[in-house]
Order: sequence, then C-alpha cells, then structure tokens
Amino acid sequence: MMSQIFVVAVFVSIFIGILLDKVDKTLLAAAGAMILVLSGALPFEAAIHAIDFDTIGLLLGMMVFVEGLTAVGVFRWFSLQLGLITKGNPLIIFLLVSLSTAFLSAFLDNVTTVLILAPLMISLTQGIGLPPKIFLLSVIFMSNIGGAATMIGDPPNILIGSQVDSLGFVDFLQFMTAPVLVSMVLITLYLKFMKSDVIRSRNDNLGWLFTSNLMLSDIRHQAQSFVLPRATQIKAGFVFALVILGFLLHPVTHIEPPVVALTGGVLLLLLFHKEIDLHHLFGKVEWHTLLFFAGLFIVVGALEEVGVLEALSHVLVSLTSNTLTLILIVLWSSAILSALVDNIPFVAVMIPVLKDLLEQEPFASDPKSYLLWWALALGACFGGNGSIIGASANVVSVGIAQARGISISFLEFAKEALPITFITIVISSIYLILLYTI
Amino acid sequence: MNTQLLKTMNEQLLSLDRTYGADALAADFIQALRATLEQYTGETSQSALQSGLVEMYHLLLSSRPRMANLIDDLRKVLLHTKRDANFSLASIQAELQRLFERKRERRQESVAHAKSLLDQSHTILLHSYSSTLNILLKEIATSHPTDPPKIILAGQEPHKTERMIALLQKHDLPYRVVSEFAISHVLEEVDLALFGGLSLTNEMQLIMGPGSASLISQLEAAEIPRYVLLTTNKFSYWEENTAPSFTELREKKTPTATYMKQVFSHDVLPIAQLTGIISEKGVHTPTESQELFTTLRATFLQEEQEIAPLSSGAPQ
Repeated sequence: MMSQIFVVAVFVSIFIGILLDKVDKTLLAAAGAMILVLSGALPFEAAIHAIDFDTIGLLLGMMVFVEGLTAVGVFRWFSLQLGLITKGNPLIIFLLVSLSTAFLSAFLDNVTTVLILAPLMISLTQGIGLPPKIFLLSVIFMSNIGGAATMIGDPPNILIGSQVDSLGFVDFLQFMTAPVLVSMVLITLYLKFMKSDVIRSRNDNLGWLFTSNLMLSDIRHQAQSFVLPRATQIKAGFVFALVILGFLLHPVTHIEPPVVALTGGVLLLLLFHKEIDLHHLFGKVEWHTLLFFAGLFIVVGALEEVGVLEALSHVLVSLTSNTLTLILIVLWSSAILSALVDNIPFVAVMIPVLKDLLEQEPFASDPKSYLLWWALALGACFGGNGSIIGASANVVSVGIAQARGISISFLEFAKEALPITFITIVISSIYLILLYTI
Repeated sequence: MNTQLLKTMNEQLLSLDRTYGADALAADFIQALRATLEQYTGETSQSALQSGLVEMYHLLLSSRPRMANLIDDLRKVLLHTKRDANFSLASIQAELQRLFERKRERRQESVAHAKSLLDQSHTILLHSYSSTLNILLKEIATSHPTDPPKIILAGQEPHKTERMIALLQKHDLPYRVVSEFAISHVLEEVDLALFGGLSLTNEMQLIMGPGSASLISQLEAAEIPRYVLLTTNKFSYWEENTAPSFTELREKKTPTATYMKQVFSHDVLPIAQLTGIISEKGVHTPTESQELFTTLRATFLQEEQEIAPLSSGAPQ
C-alpha cells in the first residue's frame, strides 16, 4: 500500500510539475524515474525493461528523418511554393495552408509541421494586412486534427501503435481517416463561416489585391534564389515514399515501424552526407523529448509494478459493464484531460490500464472492445486542441506568434478552440457509436 | 483613406526596397499592378477602374519615404485613363507593359553613361545593390576581359553584401569586401565610388541606403569622385512635410544582454556632397542636376494638374 502511495505521489508530482511549467518536463520525468529506481520502488532492470524502445526508436527515426529533410531545404522550398500557389488570396491562404498542415501533420510530427507552416501563415497574412490570429489558430487546430490520422502523426498515436501489438500503421489509417477527414471538412467550414468577414477573397478590391501581389513579389524573389535541385527533390521524395511504404507494408514484411523510421533516417543521411553537417543535425534531434519518454515509461512501469494501473482498470470496469459507454467515457475523459494537461503522460498511463481492462469480462469477449484504443487516440489527439497547453504544437505556435508580435492569450485561444474541440469529439463519438453498432 | 491598407502597402514597399533594391521594387511594382488587373473581379467600368487607381495613387503619395518612380508610373497610368476616352483593362495593361519596357531602356541608358566614367577607373568602391548595377558590371566585365577594374565592396547588412558578392562573382570581377565602417583604411586606393539612390527631393536632398552618408562624407573629405545612379523618374517633386527617412527601435538579444537598437530606413544628404548623378540623360553635376530637376518638375506639375479632376470625382 505504501509503495503504491509513494509511486502515485511521484507520478502526480510530475503531472503537477508539468502543469505548473516551472521545471522542464524532461527533468521532471527523469527525476521521477531516478527517485523510483533509487528508492527501490522499481528495480533498475525492470526500469530498463519498462522503456518501450519501439516508441523511442520510432521517434528517433522520424526525428532524424525530418531533420534531414529540413537540412536539405525541402520544407523551405515547400513553404515557398505553397506561398506562391496561394496568390495572396485570403481564402486560398486559409484553405491551402490549413489543409496542408493537416496533411503534413499526418506524416510528420506536429511540432515540425507548425514550425514549417505557422511562420508561413503569419508572413502571408501579415503581408497582406490580414489579422493573423484566426489563420494561425487554424494551423494549430489542423495540426492536431491531421496528426490523428496516422500512427506517426501524433505522439499519443506513436505510443499506442508501438505498445499495442495488434495495431499497426494500416489500422490507424483504416480507423482514423474517416473521423479526421470529416473533422477537417467541418472545422474548415465552421471557421470559414464564423470568420467570413476575414476569410474571403479580396479580388474585388484593387488596393488589397495589389498589396497581395506585392507580397507575392517577395515570395517570388525568395523562391527564385532558393532553388531545390532536382536531384534533391528526387532523393528526398524517394526516401519519403519508401518510409511510408515501409509503414504500409508492415503486415506483409513484418518490418517494425521503428526499423522503417530509423532506416529512412539513415538512408536520407547517406544520400545527403555531403550536403548535411551531421554533427549539427544530431544536435537538433530532440534528445530531451526521448529522455522525457524514457523517464515517463519508467514511472508508468513503476505504477504497473506496484499494481496501481491494475487497480485503475478495475475501477473503470466497476464504472460500467457496457463497452460502448466505456468507449465514450474514455473518449471524453481523454479529450478533457488532454486539453488540460500534457496528453502524453495520460496516454502512457492509459495504455497498460486498457490492456488490463481488455483482459477482463465483459470486455474480453466483446469483439468491438478494440474501439477503446481508437477512443483513446481520438480523445488524446483532438483533445489537444482544447487549450494552449493541450499539445506541444500549440505552445510552439503561440511562441512563434509571440516572437512576431502577435499575442494569443489562454482565454483567446480557448474561446476559439473549445467549440472546435467539442465538434471534433462529437464527430468522434458519432463515429465510434456507428462502428460499435453497425 | 484606408489606413490599414496604407500601412500594409507601405510596409510591403519598404520591405521590398530594403531587401531587393529600388530597381527590383520598380519592376515588382509594375508586375504586381499587371497581376492585379488580371485577377481583379470587381467592377470594370471606366469610373470604377479610375476610382480604384486614384485610391492607389493617393496611398502611394501617403507612403513614406515617397517612392517617386512608383508614383510616376501610376501617374502615367492615370494620365492614360484621362487621355484615352476608350481606355479599358486591356489598354491599361498595354500601358504598363510600355512603362516596364521604358524602365529597361532607362537602365541601359544610365549604364552607358556610367560606363564611360568607370572605364577610366582602376579601383571602384561599390555600396548599393541594384539591377542597373548588375547590367553595368556585366558591361565592365565584357569590355575589360583581361584587366578589369578592382572592386572594393563596402560591406553592410549581410544579406545586402551577399547579393553584391553574388553579382561580382557572376561577372567574374576581382573584388574584396571591406566593412563600411573601415573604409577609411582603403580610401587611398579608390579612384571612384558608386552608390544607388532612392530619390532626389525638392530640397535637393538625396535619399539613399543607410550607411551611404558617412561613406560619402569620408570620400568627400578625401576628394574622391562619388556618383549616385539615379534615373530621373526617381525625382520627387513634392513639398515634404515629414522626414523622408523613418526610424524605429528594435529589440536585440545577446547571450548577456537585451538592448534596444535604433535603426534608420534611409540616409538623407544634400546633393552637393556628391560629384554628380548618373541618369539616363547623362552625368550631371549637382548644379546641372538642379537645373534638370526644375525642367522636369514643370512637366510633372502639368501632369498633376491634368489628373487632378480624377481625384475630385469630376466627370471625365
């Protein structure tokens, strides 16, 4: 009992520490892990065993891959081309940049996506005298929505996909594409409708249209001086396609996703070894994020070791014996908690809880109980839109905006974000209900 | 007047000027106007078009610093709508094309006059980037394949210096970079200095890139010939009530300190500090420049009078 209280106290302390944001979350997780190992709550070998190297490997592989693409200029080229295609039209800027964010988020991590597209959105909108906030917010919302579509699009999905053996890249595509696409469409229409005074073409006004074309001149100059060699485009595209194919063909090849990601990263570096400064690139890999995950796994491992998670799963079972009800509970609680606190620790805890729960009746014999995983994924990903602190991409984007003199307060964000989060969770609820009942 | 539109347009024009130079901005301006007219979906009646163009004209007049060559182009477009009773979107586009081609001709003519000066120089100090300079350097490289003049490039903001270096490397001209604050160490080598300019005002003041004024003062003290490349469409004939250059404070951070840095958009100096202006009409001393200015101003005033009724909304 004492050991359970101690381990829970460490976990809750980490959670609160992340919320208060006075100490870096990586330090908190690492310190928590060390305390648990030093105190004997979790033996060192068990701690190492608790670290899910599938997740770490997948994250590391994708980080190296993305940094490699950044280093050879793929994303800068992409954002310049995107800027040109918008022709400075506010409506096209909104649609193209937002939807590109959603699409890219599905295959790159959300933070990388907003690092590429948030500055572009700000430059385009400020450059033509538009209020940038709602446009930037659309990028943030779409990064979290699009990221839910694949196993590699959002950390919660990476965690779930890596730790639940029965779920692979194809399964995520199969089950997550529909709610993500519907959410993308409805949220786009919602924003367009709510902000129609701003999100509209200005081609009927000579002055504003002229200003848009002036801004395009700047992008044109940049695009002309920044040429991505054809060979680079082909090599980068080839590796990108190979990685996606690797994920898709996992059921056939049985090559694990982290192996695919790491192979893609290394292959990219090999193909561009002359162009890329390796030391500089490895300096940009988010080692602190990997350490955060490792620390978190150890803490969650300790919670499992002392039986807290098993107890939690029993509590959930006692709440309801109806699978569909439980699915909706998991969905909505994931969303709410993801909005309020970092979704990664929450998902990290919920995975072993759900695994345990799925071995208990009546859920073990319910063929649709696997939907609990999708409820967790949808809730954690979409819930990240609920507040500024709900997802790392939100914090990063608001930071980028701040650096450009655009201030977005917690309440301002919440005012726009809560209806959107609510809409996406309702869509998810309807979707899961349909999947369960059909 | 739409102040948000004015602010945005002004910022765009300044940004393009600062980043790519006045010549590039002039070309971008025309191209942007052409693209605007192509994409325009509003009312295309003559009165609506004139009204829209007049609004843009007033916005340009209110921008700071005044970009005389851009205003001149738009004035020419308005004159076209005033003089051609059957003007249309298509005819305006044709006028813009004519203006674009005239720009090219002006540059070539300026280059021809500048080359005659530079041909006698062994070491030339360069400061400001422009597309006219690009053509001039190409001419110099072509006419001096074996013994080209040496170039000393006054290093300024990295992006500007890099653009100049790209030009010099493109034309394979021997050069070296000396920071503009250290030019005094190499003055004795310089035969002639060449600058770019944004505008010449009614008060016979040149508006030039930041850093130009201190360099020119040093060159003046050392009695080294110093010229500015400035076509006559950059002559600014308006009475100025506000400072042609503006300033702002920017926050800068270093590992040990955060401080405010005051930056200035342009330098302003009397034309008398220069040896002369090189325009498409020739090389002019300060006195000759003033005479030329006065002559051209008369034409400008006539044109302004001609388009004045458009602003008042009077029937055309």
